[in-house]
Amino acid sequence: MLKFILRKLGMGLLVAITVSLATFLMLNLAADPAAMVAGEDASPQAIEDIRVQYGFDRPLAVRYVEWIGNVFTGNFGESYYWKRPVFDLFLERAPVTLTLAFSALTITTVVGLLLGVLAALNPNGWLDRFALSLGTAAQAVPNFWLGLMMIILLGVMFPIFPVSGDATWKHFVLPSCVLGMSAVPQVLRLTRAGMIDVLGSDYIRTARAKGFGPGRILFQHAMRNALLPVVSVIAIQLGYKLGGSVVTESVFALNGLGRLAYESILGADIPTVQMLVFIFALIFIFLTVAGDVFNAWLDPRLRLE
Amino acid sequence: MKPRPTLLAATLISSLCTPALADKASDTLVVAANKEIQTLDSLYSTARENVILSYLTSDQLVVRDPETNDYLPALAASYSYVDDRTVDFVLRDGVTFHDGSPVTAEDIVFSFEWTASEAAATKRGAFIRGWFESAQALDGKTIRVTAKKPYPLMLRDIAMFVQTRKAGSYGPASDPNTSALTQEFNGTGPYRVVSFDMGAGVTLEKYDGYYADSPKSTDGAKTIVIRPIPEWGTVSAEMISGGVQFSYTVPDDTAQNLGTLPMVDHVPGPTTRIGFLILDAGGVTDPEGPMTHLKVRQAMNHAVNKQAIVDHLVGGSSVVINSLCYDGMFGCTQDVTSYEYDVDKAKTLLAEAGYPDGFELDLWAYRDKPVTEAVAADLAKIGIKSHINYVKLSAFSKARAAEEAPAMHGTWGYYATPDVGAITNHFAAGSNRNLNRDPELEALFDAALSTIDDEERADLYAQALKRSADMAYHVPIYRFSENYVAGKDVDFTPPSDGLVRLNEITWK
Repeated sequence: MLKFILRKLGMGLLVAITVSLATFLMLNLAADPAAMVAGEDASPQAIEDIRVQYGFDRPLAVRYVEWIGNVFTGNFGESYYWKRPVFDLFLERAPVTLTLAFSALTITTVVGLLLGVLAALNPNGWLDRFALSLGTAAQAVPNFWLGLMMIILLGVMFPIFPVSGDATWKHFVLPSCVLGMSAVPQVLRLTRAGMIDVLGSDYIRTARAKGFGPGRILFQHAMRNALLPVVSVIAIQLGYKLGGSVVTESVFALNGLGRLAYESILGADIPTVQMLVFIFALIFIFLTVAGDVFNAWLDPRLRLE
Repeated sequence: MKPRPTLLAATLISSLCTPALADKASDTLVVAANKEIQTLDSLYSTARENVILSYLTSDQLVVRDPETNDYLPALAASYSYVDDRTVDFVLRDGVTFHDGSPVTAEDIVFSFEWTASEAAATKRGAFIRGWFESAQALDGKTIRVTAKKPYPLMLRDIAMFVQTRKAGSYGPASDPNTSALTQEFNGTGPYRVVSFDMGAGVTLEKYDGYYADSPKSTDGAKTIVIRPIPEWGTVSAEMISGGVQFSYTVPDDTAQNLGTLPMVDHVPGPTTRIGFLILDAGGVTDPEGPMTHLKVRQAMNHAVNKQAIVDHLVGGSSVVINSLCYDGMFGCTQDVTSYEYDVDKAKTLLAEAGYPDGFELDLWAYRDKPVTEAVAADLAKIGIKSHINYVKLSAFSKARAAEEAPAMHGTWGYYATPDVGAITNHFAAGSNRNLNRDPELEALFDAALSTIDDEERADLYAQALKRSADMAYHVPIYRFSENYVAGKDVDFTPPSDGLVRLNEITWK
């Protein structure tokens, strides 16, 4: 098992390095970073000065090797815009994104699982149809629209929650609902399909024949198998959410990693974008491995494979 | 653009449910900015947010009066020209930094030298290095600034770019830390920084030790909070609910919608930014290109319906311009050859130039896409088929530097300086913004930027602008309009240069 995990993590690191190289090349080839750092109305001389000062005149290969070498010593470099170590920026913004991601994921998981299980208990019943309709609607509605509607309804017309910002827990309620709802349909459908499949299987019929109660059958026997694919989806969703939701963070003016990434890309702030892509790639890889391990714990057969 | 009924209905309903809560009671003005403030040290950012911030937190030797365009003594009690390259400044008594320490001649000399230094890598260094020779403390109160040559924008550069820093602020000269003031700032302006969090914004408070008789207003709110809110829909909601009392650079439709509500005023105002097309008259991208023909360029000028663009796309206080400046700006004249909108005349000129069926054109742009599209549609009417390369500024700059853009939809903000001299780089030799490469124009602009005689400068600029219009090197289109929105309790008058001075905003 340990070997399996280490091999996965090692491959993941290589993927992260490849992703960072691709990002580095795209950022440098698509735009002139010196012009971006200099600003909109900068003179050609100012742009040239900055090109030399920031080392943009050096070969790309030299700059990339220097960057990746520094990363392995824990130095991600300094932001061209914010004039600060980019890892400090990450540490400052991460709590907001972590709070948003875990609260949104909680909503996704609770609502998705609950509706999925309830729907599966009575397929094609009114609750099933309601759940599927809700799922379809949640998938169809864009986050920015839902966000603005919630702001108008619960921030302005009935001012229960703050409109924007991230100063208190109340500021996270609306954005968490918006971000959480967007992933509910996936969890709901997978749970429903998995539960319908499992509840019709032989071993559940056997369990019923043995006289087990519905609670024991549902939670101890059915869910354990039905949730295998759901765990992987939740792990991936957590990766998405930790990667920062640009739209949700922008609509609610949350000071998280999504906005940091957005502002950095717009400004061609290469060190910040590089660091974020690298860390996001590592997060995804870690979560994928964690999902595999959790699945293996749920289903011992996977451990043997 | 007309206000959208659905949004209006929604916001009107909401306005009935919640009263506007402008924070007049706590004397705190909350301002929504569309972008984050990246650093407190405006020497290292050219963003508008930093220009606005630095006006509040950092006083320089002089400050420009936007109404008269005069440079008024600020940290200096007075200044005088010794000769056409040298200015003496006498420091005002009792001026202090926000930490209470006095501003000395040594600090001023340090500020000049730091801004101009290559090692400091400030965003303003290139401006200063072009003319700055030395700054000397003649005594404890007098500083002598000498230019390499007569330079008419010296006071402008001192007012905007040579920001006052305490000597040693960036650590030892042998190993300076250019990020030293990014998070904590010790300034000289009417407001001091109380707190700063890049994403959450900056909180400023009036500085109690600010000097009397400052040319800057001190009538503004006691506390000013600048909050970055990237979505205009969210800004609208905050304006309606009273969480924000003022915002600037608001898109026209958002500003108009908000202006119809009882708790918000929409205030359009002028700005120094202009929009225009740069045409490859000098054959920079293609020596045989169609725009090397005068009649083609004249045809393009006649083809663009500038008034329609101003009326239907830009709105506000926008006006059509005939040259790359606007009335009221020093050295500007609109009394130049103008090209009325006339499609038939444009077609005739194009045919006379040898392009009866028009030609294909790569038109580059990075902002104000609707205007670019309107221009392309107008050019299509005379047979010029534009391929719009609408890209990010960085890619636009790269294409311009590589001399790959035969036509560019350019804009120029003049650094909020109403002086034609501030657009010299569009006419200077060696500039990649100059696609006409006209030695006569280059000489005129160079001469104008080498004298401090205002009369002579104005005459040189008039000659230059007339020639530029005669030769149709550009398609001047419009002066931008700036949209502001303000709460009903807020007393705001739009500035003539589009530079918001938050210290001048008061409560009604």
